[in-house]
Amino acid sequence: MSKNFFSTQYWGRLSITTKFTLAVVVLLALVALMALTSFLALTSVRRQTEAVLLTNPQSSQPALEMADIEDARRQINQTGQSATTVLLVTIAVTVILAFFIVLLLNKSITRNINRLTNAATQLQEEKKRSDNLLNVVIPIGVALSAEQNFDRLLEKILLEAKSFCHADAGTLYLRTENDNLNFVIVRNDSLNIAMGGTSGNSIDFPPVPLFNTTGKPNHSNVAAHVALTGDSINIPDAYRAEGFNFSGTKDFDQTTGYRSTSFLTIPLKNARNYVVGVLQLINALDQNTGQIVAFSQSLEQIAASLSSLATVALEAYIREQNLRQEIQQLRIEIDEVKRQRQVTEIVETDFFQDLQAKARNIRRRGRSSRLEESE
Amino acid sequence: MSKTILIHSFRHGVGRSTIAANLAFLLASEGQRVAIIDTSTKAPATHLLFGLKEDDMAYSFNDYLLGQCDIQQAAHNVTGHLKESLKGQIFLVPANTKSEKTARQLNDAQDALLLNTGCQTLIDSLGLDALLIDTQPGVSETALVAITVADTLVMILGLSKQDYQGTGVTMDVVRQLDVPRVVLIVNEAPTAFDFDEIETKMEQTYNCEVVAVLPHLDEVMALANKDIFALRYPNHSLTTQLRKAAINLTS
Ligand SMILES: Nc1ncnc2c1ncn2[C@@H]1O[C@H](COP(=O)(O)OP(=O)(O)O)[C@@H](O)[C@H]1O
Ligand SMILES: [Mg+2]
Repeated sequence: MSKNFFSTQYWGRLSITTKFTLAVVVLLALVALMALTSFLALTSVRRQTEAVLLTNPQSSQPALEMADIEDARRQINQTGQSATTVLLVTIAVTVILAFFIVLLLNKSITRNINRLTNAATQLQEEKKRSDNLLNVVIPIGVALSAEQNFDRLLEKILLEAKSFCHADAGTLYLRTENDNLNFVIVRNDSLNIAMGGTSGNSIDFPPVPLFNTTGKPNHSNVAAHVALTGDSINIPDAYRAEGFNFSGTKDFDQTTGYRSTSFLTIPLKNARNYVVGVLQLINALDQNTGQIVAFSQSLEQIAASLSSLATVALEAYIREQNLRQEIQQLRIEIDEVKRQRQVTEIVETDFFQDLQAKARNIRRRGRSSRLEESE
Repeated sequence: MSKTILIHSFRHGVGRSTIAANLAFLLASEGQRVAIIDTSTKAPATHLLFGLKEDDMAYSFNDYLLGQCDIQQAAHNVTGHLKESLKGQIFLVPANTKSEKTARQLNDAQDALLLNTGCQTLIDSLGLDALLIDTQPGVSETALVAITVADTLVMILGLSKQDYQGTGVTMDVVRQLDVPRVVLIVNEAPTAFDFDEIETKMEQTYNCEVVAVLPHLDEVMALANKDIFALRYPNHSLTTQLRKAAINLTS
């Protein structure tokens, strides 16, 4: 990538801090240059004049032109004063210059100052997020990868996400080969419902089809929609959400007296961007009041990271299962008829018959010679 | 009593030479006197593993078959070539590396007697504790002739469909040559497998003892037949496995 220093794009990408530093550096360089030249000029004038006046007053031309020592002093002072003036003017000019440089580099300073304060808060958010990632999400991912029992692994995925997001309920769906979402783990704390996984209770909810019988994608169910698009959906209130059919949820609410409100639905996407399952969290609870609230955006991001680690663990488990199955299949791969035929073809040859006789001979001899040895 | 151990397989490249060389090294490091005969003229590798240069091989196993030398003349003491001093000794009877076409191979039944005499001579003259034979793979005549002299036949196989079938055929043929002891070593097993399960399945399938299930290791591959794994990695778990196998095979 070539850096074009003259393009506004290049400058625009620099942060305000960089721009300001640049301007200050230019300014300081100019001031330093000016100060240095004036200092050099001043010293040389003073040296020359004083040398002429004090050490060799008669013979030197400049000395003769001056009336007396006072006159010379005044002249020196004047030179000094004008040098100071030049210096001050230079500083003023450079300050203005620097100001214009900053203006030039940055079309709108105020906007950037705002951005600076925004960046600070954003930075804090980022830090919180990365702290969460490091201290919460990654340890969960490690724990998931270590899980050897598939039911417990599935359960852990849901429970960890649920507790992290302070959700009252949640469902984990796995995608089947015929493109259905099967309910595999269902939890609802306030209704005291635990189904699937290690709970021992089976789940009788019918699977959610990703495509209807005519092959049309099922975008009305939020879990199916998320599986189809691979994007997560955050809904503050299911009863006021547009575009999705929450009839299943409403039926459930009607029979149980529950009120499903906020939904966070996240795809479990593998490295090839294929959705292997869907994680759905329901009713985020405010940590202080216990009230049902919407899932915050930062939670959504962390839950997404968690879901990708969960997918890695799921895929690793499935891969290992497949490998284990392979060995059983390979063992069965011996074609016994062919084996019999191949063996017969070899042992029926004259060569083999001859060799067999020789082998017997060798072994008999070997045995007898060993017998002699041991005697 | 000395043992003649034949390292065999159905297929090329399953690790016969690698395993033979490592077993020889481990036995010699326990103080045994060991020899290896490389009868695999198609792709001889054993001399490489022991750092024996082609120019230093005055006579090969094929020269013995041709009657051009005694078997002892073809046996090269390679103990000094190793980077480590050993309690025992290793002798190598290399395969001809020059021209495969002119090289005489084991090929008719009569050669079984010639090989047997060679082995006995070598065992007696060098005072060997164990004699290892690296074979030509498969059920070719060259391979079958060598089998007649084996006290123990070690069949090496990998986890591939081809190996399953071919090993089945080879085992059936071998059993008709009255080999006193036939065992299996599974080599290059992917570490994702359950090794105990492999062992049981193999034992059931071939009705035969499994001496070891060795993993596929990049370290072995990286050595590319230029050095002996057990010498380079004395404390590796694979070395421990090979040592156990060596003890099992000579007991
Ligand atoms: N357990 C192993 N893991 C990885 N590579 C192996 C293993 N065993 C053997 N190899 C490699 O496979 C190749 C073939 O082995 P080799 O001993 O020459 O086979 P063969 O003598 O049966 O033809 C060699 O490059 C060797 O380093
Ligand atoms: Mg070989």
